[in-house]
Amino acid sequence: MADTRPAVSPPPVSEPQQITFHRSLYAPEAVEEAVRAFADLAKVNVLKNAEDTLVVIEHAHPSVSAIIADELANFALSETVARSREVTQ
Amino acid sequence: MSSDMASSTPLVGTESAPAENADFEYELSERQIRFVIDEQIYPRDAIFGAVYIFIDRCYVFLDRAGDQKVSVRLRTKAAATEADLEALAGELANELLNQVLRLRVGESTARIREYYMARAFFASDGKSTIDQLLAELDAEEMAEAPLEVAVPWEKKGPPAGRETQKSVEEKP
Repeated sequence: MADTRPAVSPPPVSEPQQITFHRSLYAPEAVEEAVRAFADLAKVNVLKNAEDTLVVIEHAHPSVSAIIADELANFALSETVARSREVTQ
Repeated sequence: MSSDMASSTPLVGTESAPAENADFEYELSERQIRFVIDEQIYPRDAIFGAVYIFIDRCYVFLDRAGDQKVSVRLRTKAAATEADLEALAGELANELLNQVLRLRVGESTARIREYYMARAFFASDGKSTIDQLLAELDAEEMAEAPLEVAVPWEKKGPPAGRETQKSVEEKP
């Protein structure tokens, strides 16, 4: 009987990563924008409470799983800074 | 945390524990550095402006470390030595001061900027400033060009003493 198992083992499923963005520092809209930008690379869920915006990243593409949380945080910060400058101008 | 950066005491940080004799405390660990910044000394906009400069080299993360306290974590994208991280700490400290100064200058000159803007937009007598400038430039160019090369032929007419082709043909 032929071996039907794939020759290459599937990539390991990365652990879910959670980032907590404090609302006083990161605009919730900026975080949502960042989540939309990274939606193609992982399953990203957003949870909100009174103080924080929580982002949970799961099933990230193996090639980006090590940096996706950091990159998303940078994106969210960049968007927050851009929005705060729009408000002040 | 003391923010007095004018002292000649070098920036000092130790791995996993903040330095006690540092003027600007920070924690070092592998490829990352962490500060707690007091918002009463460095306003939030100054913190935003300062950390934004590092976004191309580092992964930046801000967190609330207490009332009026912001925790800043810089994680380098590339490998970094302890000296590199210390240099990063110094750069951030300098950039924070730079941003605070920019904010203060911006605030202190806000009224005069508003005044200039208001004057530019509303104080002109029906003609925009750009139209006035263009008219002035045209007048200067005309004054400096005795041959009026820039004036189209139709407007200028034939030079004195010469007849047009049409008037020559009309003669019997």
